[in-house]
Amino acid sequence: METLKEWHKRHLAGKNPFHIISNDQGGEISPSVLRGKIDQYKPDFVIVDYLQLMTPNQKSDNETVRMKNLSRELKLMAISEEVPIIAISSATPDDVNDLSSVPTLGQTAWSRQIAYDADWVMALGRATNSDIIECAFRKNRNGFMGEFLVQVDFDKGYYRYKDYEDKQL
Amino acid sequence: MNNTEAKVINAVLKDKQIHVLLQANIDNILRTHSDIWNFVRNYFEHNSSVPPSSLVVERFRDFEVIDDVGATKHHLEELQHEYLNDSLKDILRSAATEVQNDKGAEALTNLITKTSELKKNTSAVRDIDVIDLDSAIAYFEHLKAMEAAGNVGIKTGLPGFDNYLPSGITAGQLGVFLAYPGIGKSWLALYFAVQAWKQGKTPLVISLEMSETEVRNRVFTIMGEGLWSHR
Repeated sequence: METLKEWHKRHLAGKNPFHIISNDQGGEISPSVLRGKIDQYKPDFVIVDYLQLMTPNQKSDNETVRMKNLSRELKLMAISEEVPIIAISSATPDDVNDLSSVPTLGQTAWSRQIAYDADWVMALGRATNSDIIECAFRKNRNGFMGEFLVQVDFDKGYYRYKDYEDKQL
Repeated sequence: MNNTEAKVINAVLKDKQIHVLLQANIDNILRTHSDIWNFVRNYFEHNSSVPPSSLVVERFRDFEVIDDVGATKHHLEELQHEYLNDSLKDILRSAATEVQNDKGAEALTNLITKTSELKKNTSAVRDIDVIDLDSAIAYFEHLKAMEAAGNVGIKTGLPGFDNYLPSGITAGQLGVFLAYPGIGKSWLALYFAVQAWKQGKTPLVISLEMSETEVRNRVFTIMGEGLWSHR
């Protein structure tokens, strides 16, 4: 505890706020709620983890329709609130035994609409028990498409770029 | 018309959904309340918040406060509807007069220009004319001011990522991480958030999967670069 206090004093105190919102208590988070939170905290960077768990403003039983509404609303929100939004989306594998490959746009869970609304889509893949994440841009309005590798250590929480495998498609 | 305009202003003061009006070309629609709307918009641009209605009343003596209003979007749609009907009547009437006076060609040209103008004013679509130099200059000046204020794209510190996104992660962007479960996309997103925070930004993380305390543990792990373990 003392170390935590020391560390907090040295590294966190007086810095910008870092807000985390969860619906652990069972509340629903829809784009309207998110917009309210953005108005409240005025963030410069928003992460939605993850898209398929969010409730759209207009409810629908159809998952594809829900996804379509959601991704459209998120894009409009990013523009009107002038903030970058990164949405995490799960992917549905064609083969359930192969979870180590890097998914393609077509494997976005429920609907591909997010691929149309997004400015960039980065797909991630990792072999079982490997500490190397394969990253591939599947869509990029602001730059080139390409792949790169990142080495991770989840215990220590660091990410290191592995440059020797950098290849341009 | 008059009453609907007052309702729109009252609604936005009440539910603060000013973005609905900002993206709706409302400036061209308002006739009687445009001065009040300009005040509200300027106030919002300076203070990032909608003014309290008491301030508006103090400033505009003739402003009528209506307590019983619905959502801004609803009243905006009502206003657009009324505006559309009124304007169409005017356009058609003048076209009819011209046709009666045997000026068919002029009537047609006027009809086309006026109806497309009308369409622009009643839809939430933004228009831009590439030839319009003033608009371009205003945009670039805005970019310059943003840059001077330190509002540049967020860099992630991962050369692989930053190379592919040379301008960084900028406002208005929607980015997507796509992966099968358990790959580490939440981790990477949190890592990006911490990098942004280290650059003096204010991140907001919506976690629908993990509780806020679990996420905080992970954030501490990333911030502490291994000093803390989340397990």
